[in-house]
Amino acid sequence: MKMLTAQQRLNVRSFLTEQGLTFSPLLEEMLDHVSSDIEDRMHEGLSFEEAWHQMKNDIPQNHLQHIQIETMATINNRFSVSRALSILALALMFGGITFKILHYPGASELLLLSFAAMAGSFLSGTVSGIYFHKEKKGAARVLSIVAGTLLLLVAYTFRIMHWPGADMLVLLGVGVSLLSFLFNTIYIFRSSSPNANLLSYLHEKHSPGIERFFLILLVPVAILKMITLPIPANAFLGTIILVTIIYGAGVQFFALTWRLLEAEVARRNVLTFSALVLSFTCFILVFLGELLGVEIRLVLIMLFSIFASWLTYNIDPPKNFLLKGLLILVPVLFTANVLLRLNFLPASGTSFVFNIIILLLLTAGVFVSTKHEATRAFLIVSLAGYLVEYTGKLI
Amino acid sequence: MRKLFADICIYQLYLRNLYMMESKEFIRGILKPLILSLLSRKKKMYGYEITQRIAELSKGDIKLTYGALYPILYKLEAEGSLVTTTEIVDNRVRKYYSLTAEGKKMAKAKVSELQRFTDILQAIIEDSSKPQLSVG
Repeated sequence: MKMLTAQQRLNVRSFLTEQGLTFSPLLEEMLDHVSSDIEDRMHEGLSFEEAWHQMKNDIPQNHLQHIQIETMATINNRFSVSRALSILALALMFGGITFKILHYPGASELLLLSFAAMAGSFLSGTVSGIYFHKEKKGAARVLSIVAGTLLLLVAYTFRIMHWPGADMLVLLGVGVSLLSFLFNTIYIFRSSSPNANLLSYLHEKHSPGIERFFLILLVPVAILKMITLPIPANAFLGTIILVTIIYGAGVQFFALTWRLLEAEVARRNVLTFSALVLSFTCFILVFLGELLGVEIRLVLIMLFSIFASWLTYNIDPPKNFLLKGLLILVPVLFTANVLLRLNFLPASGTSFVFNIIILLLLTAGVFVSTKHEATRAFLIVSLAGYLVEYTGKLI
Repeated sequence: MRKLFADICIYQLYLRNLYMMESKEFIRGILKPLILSLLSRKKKMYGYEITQRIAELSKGDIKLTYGALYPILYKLEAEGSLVTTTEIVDNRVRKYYSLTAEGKKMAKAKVSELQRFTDILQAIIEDSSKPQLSVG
């Protein structure tokens, strides 16, 4: 039996990508299908070029794209409960903010219900995923991430409501999250078959929805923040949403990083492992909030931006000039912010760090990074963080 | 004479295309029971293998459009009728489908449903081919 060479397989893969196949499980399956077909034709006496040409003629225009749309529609219907809950969470979140602006009673309750809907969406998506894909490995790892996130959601609910025990829950949430991130990272660096990993499989299916969810949250909050300037940051109504976006988009960033590393063995090395562990450790520790001094949190944010930016540049390198520039600018901004807040730089420097031009550049970065999911998630975290820290004037 | 022969060939080609087009929708409708039926006879199969088996068993009359079976396979997997396993074959990932316990039940039900439907169709066709009696 004639087999395709590595280069020929690469040609088939690029052809399928050019045809619009982006959903990786389907892409891999079509790659096997097309390769088997070409090999069968070669077995009947055709050359690779002849078989390749015949095969291409058998595929009608835009056909593969239609197949992908149909497949995605099938999968998305499965998770309708999860999607309905995520829409409810968005509506409740915006309702809560509107109530707060208009000084209506029940604003906090709406925010809490929004958290509950978010938790429900996350839980139903993952639990149904575990149930329907028992053959895949890693249900415990998926559940550990769910547990860490839910604990943090509950802990922050306790904080908002000033209920006792909030600090204990925050500590527990941060601890469980750190461990779950570590287990997943170690698993990814030792893994040999990406398709068997339940976490990657579920994340790939939900990833577009997760990204959409945080973008829908981010855009109005960014506008709201700009309107309410120069109200001090701690009085800013949308800070709670920005913190939610930072956590969600941050987890999305690490999940994407795991998937990219899982798909490409060559990218797994001591440096990427160290950068990944350091970046998620710094990221999660920030959520200890007031349990840590503000200076320590600022330094952790700065370190996260440095490690995560380096990681993004190495595993999801953008070709776009703006995106390349932003991956350098973001760590510079958060470093300058630390120096300003710790009075190592004069207060007059604030307007160089926080101004409308940088804000627009970061926003533009989020919108042009459609083909670089990890870069986009990193920029969403950065933009939300930038908005939290933004206390100066707009111009 | 040569022209007549060419015309016949064109007509036959036209009929075949017409048959292929009309049968496309029909095949789409029965693809689910066909896949389930094939999988109930074999422990596990991959996408290309299923396409080839259908073409082979139908002596080439049922040719699926490229990749047309994948949305159905993903649907059956999402419904819990199929489970997948992956293997590395010839340096590429190969995804195998097999029936779950629920899928086995579904395969039986769908195949007998299809069988019943063909029996009904057969009865109608046979009846309509008989000479009609005019009443009244």
